[in-house]
Amino acid sequence: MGAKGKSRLRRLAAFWPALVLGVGVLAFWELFGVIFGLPAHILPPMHEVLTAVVVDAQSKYIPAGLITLQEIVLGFLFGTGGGIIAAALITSTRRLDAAIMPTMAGLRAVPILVVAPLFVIWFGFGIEPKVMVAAFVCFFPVLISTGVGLKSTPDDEIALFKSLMASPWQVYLKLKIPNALPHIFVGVKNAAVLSVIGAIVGEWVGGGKGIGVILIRANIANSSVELLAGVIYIASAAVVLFLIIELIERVALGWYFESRAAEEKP
Amino acid sequence: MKWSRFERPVLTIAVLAIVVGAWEFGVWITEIPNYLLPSPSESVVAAFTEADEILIPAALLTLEEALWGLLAATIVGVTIGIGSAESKTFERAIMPYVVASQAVPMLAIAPLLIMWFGFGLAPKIIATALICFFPIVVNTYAGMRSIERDIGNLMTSLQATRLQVLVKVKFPAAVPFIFAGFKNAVVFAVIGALVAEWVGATGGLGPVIITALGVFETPLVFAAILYIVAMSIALFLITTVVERGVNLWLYGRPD
Repeated sequence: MGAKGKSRLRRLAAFWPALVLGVGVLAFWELFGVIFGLPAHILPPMHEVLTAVVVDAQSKYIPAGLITLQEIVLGFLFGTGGGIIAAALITSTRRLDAAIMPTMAGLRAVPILVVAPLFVIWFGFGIEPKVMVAAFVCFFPVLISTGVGLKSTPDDEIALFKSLMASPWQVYLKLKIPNALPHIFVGVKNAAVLSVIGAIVGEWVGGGKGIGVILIRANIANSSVELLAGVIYIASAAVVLFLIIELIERVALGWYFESRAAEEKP
Repeated sequence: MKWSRFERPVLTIAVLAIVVGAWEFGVWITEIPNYLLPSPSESVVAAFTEADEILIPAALLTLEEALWGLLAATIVGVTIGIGSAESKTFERAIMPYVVASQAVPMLAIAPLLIMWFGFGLAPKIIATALICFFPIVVNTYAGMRSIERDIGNLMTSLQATRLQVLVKVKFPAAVPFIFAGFKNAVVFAVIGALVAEWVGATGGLGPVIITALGVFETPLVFAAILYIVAMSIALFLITTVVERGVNLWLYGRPD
């Protein structure tokens, strides 16, 4: 076996503990209800949930999911875009930053679940309030991490740029933004997961046709199979979005990870 | 005493005052009905007039749920963090699920928790813990691995057992990290309790808000938001004070 085969084996070996635990939990779940005779509406056997995920996909989950996905993507784009732009404006002067950032950090403590119904009162039952709820939850982590990133440039690097007669614009574009990117991506990855939660919360309080509405109906009908199947779709969407952003990060920040790996090697 | 010490808080308060003033003035001048957007003064008035009857008892119940949830999150989070730092296999088995748990909206899980654990305290504690434990795990893990290799080697050369290294070196080193994670978790504790109340409760701020929304009593909703934010900020500040004390006691300097 060549060195390549060996490293591939090692990579596989890194997965087995998670796999064993996952399969174990699923098996335990499947058996628990049977052994203790729990009714299926309380703890449905895992195979029933997975069956629902596959069988009802065409008729129920995929059409609803596409609507929710639309809200998620729009909310994510508005929220992250707004967060990055707002952070750039706020950190442009030290005073403004000191004045506004603490309040912005405090606003994270406002529960979205309580704000969402207000959005419904203000903007009705269409897609707009859901997009706005998703954008709202994405906005703050991106704003805060972008703000931290834009302020993280070491002073002597700025001094070096200035001594080489760089214009303020060049300092921003070629030094501050590349420096901030790793921080920005932390916020954006956070936002990717939060946008999914935001859209679901928006649908939960404002109705519509998405996955969130399937969940409400399932909740009222005490249908835990539907609830769990919906949860599986939602969680998968969040994980896929997260991985897409991580892929973009790998491509955009290849230089950053390379230089960090080089630093870690003595 | 230099001006620069006060600059930040003064500026923050100034901006808040401007925003609240503009909001108050805007509501007054546009005569927007208060069920659409109450003015700040109306919200504050509601926060006081409804305090004894409705808001304070409800807030205390929500706070109790949040505190128990935080305790559970800390125990689970620190245990998983230490376990992952000590055993690679444990880390590989559990960490993917810890990360994936953050992708599941609590609002979707809460109905199941209510179904399984009833309408009492338990589902709220679990919901809060599920929302709060993640930053504690991540920070504990980072803290346990933050000691320099030389110190570990020194301990080994002094024939310290693995348990001794854990208790006397690694855990004290992790304490500031755990506090950092806890500060992050504290902000979400009240929200966690609220989410579970939203789907199934008779007491607490969640039902107060749902009822108020149902009858378009929006000032009461804003008053409840004020209570929620105040509780979150208070928990955060208390944690900061405790953190300073513990760090002072552990390291002899407020760090």
